Amino acid sequence: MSRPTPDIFELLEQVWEQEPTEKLRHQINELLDGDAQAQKRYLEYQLLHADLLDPSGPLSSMLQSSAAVQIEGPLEAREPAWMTGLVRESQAAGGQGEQRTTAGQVVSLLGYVMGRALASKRAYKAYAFAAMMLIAVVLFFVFDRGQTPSEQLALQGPAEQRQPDPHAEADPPAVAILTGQHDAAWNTPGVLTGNALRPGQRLTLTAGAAEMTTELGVVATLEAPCTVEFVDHTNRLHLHSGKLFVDVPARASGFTVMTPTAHAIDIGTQFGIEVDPESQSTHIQVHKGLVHAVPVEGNQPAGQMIELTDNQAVAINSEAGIRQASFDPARFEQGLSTASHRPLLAGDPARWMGQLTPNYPIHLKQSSEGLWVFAERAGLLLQEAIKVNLAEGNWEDRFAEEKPRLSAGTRVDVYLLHVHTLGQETPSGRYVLTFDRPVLGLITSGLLLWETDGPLGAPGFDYEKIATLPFASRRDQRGLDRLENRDDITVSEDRRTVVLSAVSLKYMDQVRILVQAGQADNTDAAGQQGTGLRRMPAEPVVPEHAFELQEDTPLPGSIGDEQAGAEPWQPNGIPLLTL
Amino acid sequence: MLLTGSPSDANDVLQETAVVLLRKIDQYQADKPFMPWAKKFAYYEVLKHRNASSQRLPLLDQAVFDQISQQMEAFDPVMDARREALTHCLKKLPGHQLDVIKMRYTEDIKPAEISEMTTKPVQTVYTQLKRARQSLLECIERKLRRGAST
Repeated sequence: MSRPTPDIFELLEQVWEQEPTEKLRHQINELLDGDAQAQKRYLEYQLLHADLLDPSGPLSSMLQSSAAVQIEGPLEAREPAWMTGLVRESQAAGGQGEQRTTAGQVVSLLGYVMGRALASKRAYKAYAFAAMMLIAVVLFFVFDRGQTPSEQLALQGPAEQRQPDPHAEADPPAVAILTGQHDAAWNTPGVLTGNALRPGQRLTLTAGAAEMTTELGVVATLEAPCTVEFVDHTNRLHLHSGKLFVDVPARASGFTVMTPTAHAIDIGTQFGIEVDPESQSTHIQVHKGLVHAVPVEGNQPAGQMIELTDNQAVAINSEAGIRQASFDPARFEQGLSTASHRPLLAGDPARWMGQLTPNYPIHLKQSSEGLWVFAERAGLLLQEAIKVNLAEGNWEDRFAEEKPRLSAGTRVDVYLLHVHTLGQETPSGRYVLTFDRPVLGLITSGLLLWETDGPLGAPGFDYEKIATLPFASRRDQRGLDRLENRDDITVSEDRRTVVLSAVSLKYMDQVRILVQAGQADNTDAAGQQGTGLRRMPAEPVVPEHAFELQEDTPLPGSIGDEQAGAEPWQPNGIPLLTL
Repeated sequence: MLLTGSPSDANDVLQETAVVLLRKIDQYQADKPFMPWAKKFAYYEVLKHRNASSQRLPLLDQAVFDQISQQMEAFDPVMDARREALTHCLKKLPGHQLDVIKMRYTEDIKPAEISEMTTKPVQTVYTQLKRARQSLLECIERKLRRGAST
């Protein structure tokens, strides 16, 4: 390659990372002026940057194909769901008019420009904006010209391998996800941790226990034998028979368990409910918070509503109505046990997702924002010292060069926090997690996260899938924003509460939290797929909410106001009783 | 960005262009190629942008900018071929160069930070990036000259 002197390449290299000096600017312009060859090289140089930056360009594709990622289902595309939807829709229409090239060109133009825009700080916005424009343009062609050129969309770029699922739209949206199983057996085969649970689905747990998490973050623990049915409402659940323990976050206040003889409406946090399969009698006991119970018959209120608070229990059946019952703290052993090991989440929306499952990226794509917490490992004995970003001795500076280590022989439970807002900036995004045991270390940097997936991550989970999430193609975006230092994470003095203020969620943020292990003998059961629940510890650990809210930083929906915030639900015309 | 000279400027122009495209879509004649038409608007938007952001000097002078935008027409047909060649050339890049390229481009890590992470002097990082880009450009050139599209 012959080069004029001074070389345009050399000059452009100098201005790529920084503002050009006047002298450089002058040199560059002088060199380019009237020199077609130099101009061509200028374009080639800029195109190289552009292609390297392009999230669907050669570099990103290479990284992704080397990860050999395969995600099933209709959501596999890296584009947002609405984009996939558009493609699917237009494929269904099946048109292939004369506009095909045109639409393809719209795509390539915008895809091209989008790729370039990604270099900027407002990358996502530009991407989303351009993508919206793309859709607007395509729709214009579809509707205004009576053509359906957008079939070509599917033939462009990364969409090439996409196989839209023709049945995808037939399924109603999931209302809950099966987030954990413990020695569970079901009346139907193929019930797997990570499965979406949809309205109309009726499941019978014949052995063991299982945990389900609803869209709003309600965690329901089933103990066999138990039959539940999902209804077309994210905040309701039918319990036909058996034992259910529910843990309801503030935002899901009003969560209702419907049994043949009663409705239990949760206003507070935790209650157990059991339906006797023979008599259909419903036993309701409140472990914490407030529950309104209504006798029903044929789904209609059949008596007065009663208000239950901590340590109160009633039995409701169609003959005797409401009777006081004895509160048995051990009755919902399994549910209590898992609840006590689960971090308490605050911040809206924040969801407990139980075990990290192979389907996990797919679920995340179904929601537009929020924080998810996954259990990765329990009772893991560190075989060697693990580098973390924050730990004892350094809780302040997560960018510290000298990284603290957790020494070999430490036994930890590992949780993965995932904040994913699909590019929406959430300036007030603040999440509070309180564990029942001290936090030992935090991994906040993208690179350290990838490094520790092996030793600390859930066995059997393919972490490379994370790189396939929309807008997660930049691998260091996995960690907290280190470039602008706008995401903040702090740990309370007692080391049990982690506060994540994620103010700049351009792509997604993940944090790995290492907590002192609760149970040394959990090692075998822990971390295996499909065993998201833990056995009852010898002495149940009751979470202590040591984190105190500061007055000047109100946290909506935080632990502090979980019980106080909710307005008691009261159906019209039903007088309220208290025990 | 080819014309604006800076990624953030490109971003602004992209948005403007998209809006203009949408506004002017009815002027588009279906029998004409789309790209030149769209590019025309992109060009105007770049121009507008250059006038508006006078506080920050664009890299290119107006005259040079106009010349290069003329060149773009001729450049267009080879863009896909170059991209394809890049795919091939990336695989040939030495491991350490590919690593910095990955960090810089797909992970958006600044050279200073790459230096921190790899415990190499920042100048070394700049040099590695530069050498990588140079190798890629030369490789693409060779590949295209050979005319091999496999």
